[in-house]
Amino acid sequence: MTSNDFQQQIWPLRDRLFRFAFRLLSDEAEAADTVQETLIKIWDKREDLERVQNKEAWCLRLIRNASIDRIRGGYRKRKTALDAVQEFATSRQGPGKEVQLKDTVQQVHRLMKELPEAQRAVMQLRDIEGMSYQEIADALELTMAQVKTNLHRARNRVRQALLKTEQYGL
Amino acid sequence: MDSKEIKVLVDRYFAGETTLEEEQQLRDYFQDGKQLEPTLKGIQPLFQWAKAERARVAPTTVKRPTLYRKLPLYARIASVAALFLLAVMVTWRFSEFVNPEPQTAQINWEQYEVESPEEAAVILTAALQKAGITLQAGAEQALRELESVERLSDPIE
Repeated sequence: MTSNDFQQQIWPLRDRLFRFAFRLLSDEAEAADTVQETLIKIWDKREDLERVQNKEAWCLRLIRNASIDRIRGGYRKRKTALDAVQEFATSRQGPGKEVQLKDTVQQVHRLMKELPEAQRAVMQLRDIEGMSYQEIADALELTMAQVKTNLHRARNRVRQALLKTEQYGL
Repeated sequence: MDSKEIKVLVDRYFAGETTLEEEQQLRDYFQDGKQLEPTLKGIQPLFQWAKAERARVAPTTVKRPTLYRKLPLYARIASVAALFLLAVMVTWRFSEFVNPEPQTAQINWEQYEVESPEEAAVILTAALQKAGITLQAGAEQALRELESVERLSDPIE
């Protein structure tokens, strides 16, 4: 794979890889580091990449494994997850919607963190990245049935928590 | 899309039966500031969050790794060897600068070489005379010291 091929096929995936890493790590700085290390690893393995049919799925698997390794390695969060979420949410809205969106994003972010890793990953790839069930199955090395089950469970857990909050203000 | 259709779509969404296009319709619907029923209002954050999260991008600190070119093995070995050689040369020159060799006068020892037996006898005689004078002076000094010690031991008158 040449530098040009990498530029056209892999480099455009960095935002998706970053969002996925952030979902798993809940830390922007760690997610950025993970993405950088993974991109370097992908570049170092560019000869192997020639044989990979679904490069995006392969890259997502690498990011997932790298993120899990970081979690197991006990990384130190350089800023709180909510700080990153707040900055992100407030940077894109006018003053009127700023507070509301910030609360919304924080709320769902907290609920997502409570999901099991597989459910969180599937929901991220479907609802944020807009990937098909087959693409998700390839990326996460799951069966289609597992993807649908995890997605169903994840969405309903989040829904129940949101409705409870709406009802009881918890 | 009216609320009835939306409710059907929402139920299918949570059952995992919606297409990607239908899910996008839900996200678009829940972004507007319309009056929603409590059940729909309760899940609005989910769709607002999803749309907001799609806008998250990698920071500019993430760089293209093709800038970090991996050198071939022989080039890496050669560069390490070159660095090592440079370090040795710098250390050697630096040590010369810090600890220079002391400058000594060049002496022509040939002028002091004995050239005949007669010259050797003259030099030997002079050396023995000097040794004798030194020994005698030393003995006289020792005697004077002894005398001063004896005076010290005499009783006080």
